[in-house]
Amino acid sequence: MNTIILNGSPKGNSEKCNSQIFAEQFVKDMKNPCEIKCIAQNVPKELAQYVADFDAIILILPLYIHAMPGIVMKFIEELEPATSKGKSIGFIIQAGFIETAQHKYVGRYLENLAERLNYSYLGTVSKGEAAAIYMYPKMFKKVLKLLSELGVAYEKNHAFDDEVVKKLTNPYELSKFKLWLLRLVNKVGLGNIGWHKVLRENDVMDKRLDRPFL
Amino acid sequence: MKALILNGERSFEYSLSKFSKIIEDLLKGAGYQIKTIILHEKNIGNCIGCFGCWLKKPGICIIEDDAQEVAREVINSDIIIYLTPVTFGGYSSQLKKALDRNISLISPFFGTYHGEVHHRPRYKKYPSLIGIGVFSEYNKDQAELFTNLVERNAYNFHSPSHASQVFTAGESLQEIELKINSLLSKVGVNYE
Ligand SMILES: Cc1cc2nc3c(=O)[nH]c(=O)nc-3n(C[C@H](O)[C@H](O)[C@H](O)COP(=O)(O)O)c2cc1C
Repeated sequence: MNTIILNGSPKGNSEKCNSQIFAEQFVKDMKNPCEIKCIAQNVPKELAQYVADFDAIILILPLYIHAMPGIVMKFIEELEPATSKGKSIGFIIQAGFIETAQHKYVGRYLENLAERLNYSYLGTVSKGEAAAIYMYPKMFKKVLKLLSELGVAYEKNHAFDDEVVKKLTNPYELSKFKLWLLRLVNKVGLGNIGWHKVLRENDVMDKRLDRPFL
Repeated sequence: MKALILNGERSFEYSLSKFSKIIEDLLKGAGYQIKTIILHEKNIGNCIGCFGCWLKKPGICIIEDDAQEVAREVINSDIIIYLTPVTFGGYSSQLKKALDRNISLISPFFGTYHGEVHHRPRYKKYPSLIGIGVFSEYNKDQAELFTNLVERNAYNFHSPSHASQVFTAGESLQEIELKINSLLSKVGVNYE
């Protein structure tokens, strides 16, 4: 059983790429770490041919406007259905917004895709609130550890471990209380401290609300 | 009133010009000024995920290519139409690539909408969204997914109203016209 890990982020193997961090964590504690390849750094057609020789694919990707990034769609368009049974594909999605219910659409899309490609579907693991992981990895130690656990269990069972998946997926939806809290946080501006910091560093704080196309 | 058609057809397969022609004629009849952009004829690179359009040049993508023109046209339209082949229930990569570059049109700052976290609007007014997906071979699950995606994207981009419809490549012109007419009326187009 050989598995290839694909990083679907347009950032590729840059150190600012959360999908790459996810991929590296996923294989970190495996006895025989899987190979990782970046879609961004390969020719879609060639990569599609390359992955056809593996028994399993795990595609790790950021959510882009509720779906996969354009480069992942381009790659997907190049994939050919498997000619033999027994191949499998699974997905790990990470995204900026907190609640993973927002990944519902893409999860169903990916399940449909697996079926069309004649691959068995290992599932889609979702992690929200992931955009800042590359900036503050220490704050996300728990998440990174869960990803390594997910990888170890995958190597053993060729499946995503339900317990670990559940922990990563949480919260699926925001409770009324959490929504209220978020509204408050946004109102007093706390939710945007991170953005403000970078805007100031870039010396464009006063331009942050610009409408250049009017 | 202005309308913009983003045609995401792929250069190697069936053309969607039949559909854009019908949309153009109907909208012209309702007094709209129409622009159609065939995306594969444009030079549009992939979003590189740098957030430069929020944090370096607020409102403008840092990659200088035709996607900037697309974004400018989108925000200055009253209606936009995503016209695309349905690929596994989603848009073509041509269209998706152009849409990824449109996050310059919203703000990095967060708000809560429809009981979810989303980005706040950057502009005061956004276009209504119509999604038109064309199948080479109809698939019910994928049709549902397509409808869902258009709805989700309408939330992402603060569209005041939205509607979507899938077609099969072989449908008659008359059928297509009827359905598109009903789509247009859903986003408030009338012929008076
Ligand atoms: C064009 C674009 C669109 C995005 N759309 C969404 C979205 O719809 N929902 C969400 O939660 N996060 C969205 N994000 C945030 C990314 O998913 C998040 O920052 C992710 O961690 C990036 O992963 P990467 O570093 O591997 O590229 C978007 C980011 C970009 C650049």
